[in-house]
Amino acid sequence: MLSPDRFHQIRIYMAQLKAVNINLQQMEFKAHSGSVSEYQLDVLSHLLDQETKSLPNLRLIQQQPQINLNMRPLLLDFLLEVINKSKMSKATFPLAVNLIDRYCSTRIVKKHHFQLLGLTCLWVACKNLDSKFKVPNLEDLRRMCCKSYDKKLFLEMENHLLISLNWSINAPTYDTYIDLFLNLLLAGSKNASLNMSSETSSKFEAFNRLLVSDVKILSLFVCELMQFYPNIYFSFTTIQIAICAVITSMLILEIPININSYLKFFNDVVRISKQEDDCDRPLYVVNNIESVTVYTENGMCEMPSPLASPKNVTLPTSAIRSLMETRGFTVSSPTDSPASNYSIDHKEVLSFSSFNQLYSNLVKILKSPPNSIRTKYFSEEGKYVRLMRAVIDFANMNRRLYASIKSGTNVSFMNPANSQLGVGSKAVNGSKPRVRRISTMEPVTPNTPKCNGNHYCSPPTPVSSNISPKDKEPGPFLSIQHQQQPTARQASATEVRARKRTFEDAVAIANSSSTGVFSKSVTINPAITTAEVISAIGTGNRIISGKAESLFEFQHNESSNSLFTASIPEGEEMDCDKMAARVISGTSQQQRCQYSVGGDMKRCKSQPQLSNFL
Amino acid sequence: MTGSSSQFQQLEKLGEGTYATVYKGRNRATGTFVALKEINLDSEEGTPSTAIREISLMKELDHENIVTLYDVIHTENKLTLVFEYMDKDLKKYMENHGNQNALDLKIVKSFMFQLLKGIMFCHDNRVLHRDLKPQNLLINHKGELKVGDFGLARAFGIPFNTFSNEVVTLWYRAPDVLLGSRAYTTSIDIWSAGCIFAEMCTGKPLFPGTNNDDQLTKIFRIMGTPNERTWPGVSQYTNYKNNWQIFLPQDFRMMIPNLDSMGLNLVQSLLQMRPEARITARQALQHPWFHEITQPTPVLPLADPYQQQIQDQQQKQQQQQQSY
Repeated sequence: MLSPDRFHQIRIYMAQLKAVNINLQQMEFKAHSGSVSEYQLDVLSHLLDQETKSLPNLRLIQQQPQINLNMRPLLLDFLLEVINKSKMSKATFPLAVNLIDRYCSTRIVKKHHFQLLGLTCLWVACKNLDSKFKVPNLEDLRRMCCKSYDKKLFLEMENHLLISLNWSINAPTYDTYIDLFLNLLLAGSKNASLNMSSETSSKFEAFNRLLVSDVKILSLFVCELMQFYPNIYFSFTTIQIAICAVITSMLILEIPININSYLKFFNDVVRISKQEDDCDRPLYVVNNIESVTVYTENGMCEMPSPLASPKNVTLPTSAIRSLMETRGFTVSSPTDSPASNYSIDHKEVLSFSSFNQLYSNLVKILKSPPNSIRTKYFSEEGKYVRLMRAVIDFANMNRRLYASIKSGTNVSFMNPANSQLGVGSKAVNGSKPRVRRISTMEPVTPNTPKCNGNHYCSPPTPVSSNISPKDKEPGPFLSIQHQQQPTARQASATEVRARKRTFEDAVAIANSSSTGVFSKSVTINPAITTAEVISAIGTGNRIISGKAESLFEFQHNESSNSLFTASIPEGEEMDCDKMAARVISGTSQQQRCQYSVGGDMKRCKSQPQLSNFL
Repeated sequence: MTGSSSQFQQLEKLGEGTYATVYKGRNRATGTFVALKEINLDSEEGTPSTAIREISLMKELDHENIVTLYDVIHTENKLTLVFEYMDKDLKKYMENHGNQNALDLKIVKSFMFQLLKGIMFCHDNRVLHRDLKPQNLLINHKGELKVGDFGLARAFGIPFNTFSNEVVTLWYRAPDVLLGSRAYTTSIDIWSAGCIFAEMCTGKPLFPGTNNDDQLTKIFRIMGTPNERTWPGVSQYTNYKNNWQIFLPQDFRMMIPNLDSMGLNLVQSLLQMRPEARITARQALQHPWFHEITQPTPVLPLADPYQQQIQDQQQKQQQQQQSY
């Protein structure tokens, strides 16, 4: 791909010189942040419009006579490798994938033309997004596929592709959303109000550019990974995947965040960007979302927005009205079937329950990346090793959690609506669930299931195994896992350990009660804050969703001033949305809040600081 | 989009671009005029990336101030884009209708307003035009101005990506891009708009440079040579030289004597050296200079019939009181 332009090398050199200069980068960023913040909501709304127009149709793809979804990951793996080698932009891959899927939804593809289609889509995506020096020519394309296709075929395929897609090549890709969201969050953190309690807010001040770039890389990794799994990729829209990826990356990096309020924030941003009336909309929403009154099924409560700031309250009344109308719903309605996700619901882009669904699927695939992703991110000398260690730690922790739950109960946490899309719960429990433990009076202690050598015990793949990428060798993970922790993390190692420890305690408690300690209130060690129990439930939603017949009661010692009960009536189905609704409603009535739990009344004496965490 | 080229009768050549030739055409069925942009397909390159970008972006942009793309005709060695026919481009319009190329201020105001509306729509839809110049602004006989030629346009990310700095015809290229910035966004189109504004008023291009350095000198001669004090960080740019000739900023009143002070204020907001100081299209549209377009007639208090009734009654009462 040698360029005919003799100044090309000079320009590249200049660009590299310039790219090194941090001052200039920051200066340019500052220079453009003004215009960027003015346009980002319009851009977001436009992207959402675009997304509805550029969705593939899974049902039509499944009707293809010669190709099936098993071949998809193989093709994507090959394409991603090509993209990595030629260092194309990060949007090229998702766009190419989108083009492939959309073409497959309209035209029949012969088996031996599938790779041709893939390469042509890559070619078109690259032409659309990359600089002209990176666009491969026909000879390059031919070499990539070992000369199995003639040059003429590529040209024909390109014509055919463009006409079939009616020249609508642009599709919103997750990297645009990720950039947008991080930008919004960054603007929010500058207002020094991203929800944190005093102790954690100092930590959040570290949400600076460095951390943002970490979050961004991880989010991209997560999104790229999700594209390989048709069941996840086709059941969620790009914006949902992007939101989930951003939040998950923050969890991986152990940034103390409040999942619910982040979700709410993203949903609000999307909703406000959707408002048609231009003049009615505030220019800088980030400054403007104040706390909003919310109506839940249990009454009224005040919901601080994650980005609430005391000044610049110019949210127009209509915006508040629409916020209120939908807010109550966001907390208390768990009804959300993935089938309905095909049309983007403008009221709520990603509800808590669908987030959890996505998240629980995601956790399972984190450690089984396909080859191309593995070589890109997991190579020892690569620049991402530090981040990927965090990913593996995270996946291990979640797996341990998951395994301990699985050994206890046979909870099927999949929405049945999902199974037709291939997310069969059968596949999850493909390895036969162990015998249900009846007596779990001795809860799983956090210290025992360290499973040091065993931590890569084949992760339960959410996909029916023939769809998932074929490679399952644990090789690189083991080696990374036993490496020394990098210095940056060593500094906070003790803190992290402490966090994990309490977390595991909390999980053990959540676990024990979910496995049959019925109607027995569990007193939690006062060292564990309520929040951590809640977060354990939050992340452990998979534990208690589905059929939870147990009564949850989390009480602190009377001495500690934050007391909290969240209870599930016996026999009632419970998932995190309802739980969240309850807990939030618990915080609403300031002094005494009471609600019925399976007949008897529990009292909540003081106002726990839960709004920060749910 | 399954038109065939026989559907259109090819008439005279309208112009020749870098990668395409534009003809006037007539729809054989309806008799309406169209503009046919013919792109020759390279056998090695396939469909050129400019064409892919232009078509896919134009299909997204449906606005009264942006030229409409009707159809794409794809044959083996030729790609024909069928556009809405516009009578003239702004450059020709100025030559024909202007007083020594300079246009009447009323027309300037109308054109600027439409141009900024078109730019705002592009930016709202995350599209950078990157090649705004009088030749790319098309005028029809109704006096409507539409932005055309999206051959260099592309979608931008937020915050922003790095792009090539070989964009925009030299005369309309923003100083930060000339200085080597590759991380520009919407502000680059705004600078071009400012240059076009001044050109419409005076009839002469504002900064007719011959090469990159000459262009910068021409800009500095009017805007003043930037330094670390007037533009913090300017010395970080790759093309910065510390031996530039020092110019002082000129007064725009001397440059564009026929423009009123409000208009001068708008020119100055559009033509800011520092990209962050440049006004955005949305803000510019709310500039008081456009008030006679945005609020053409003052709101009459009698417009509401209900109010009128009340006032009539009040008048009657007053008359009655007076009669008493």
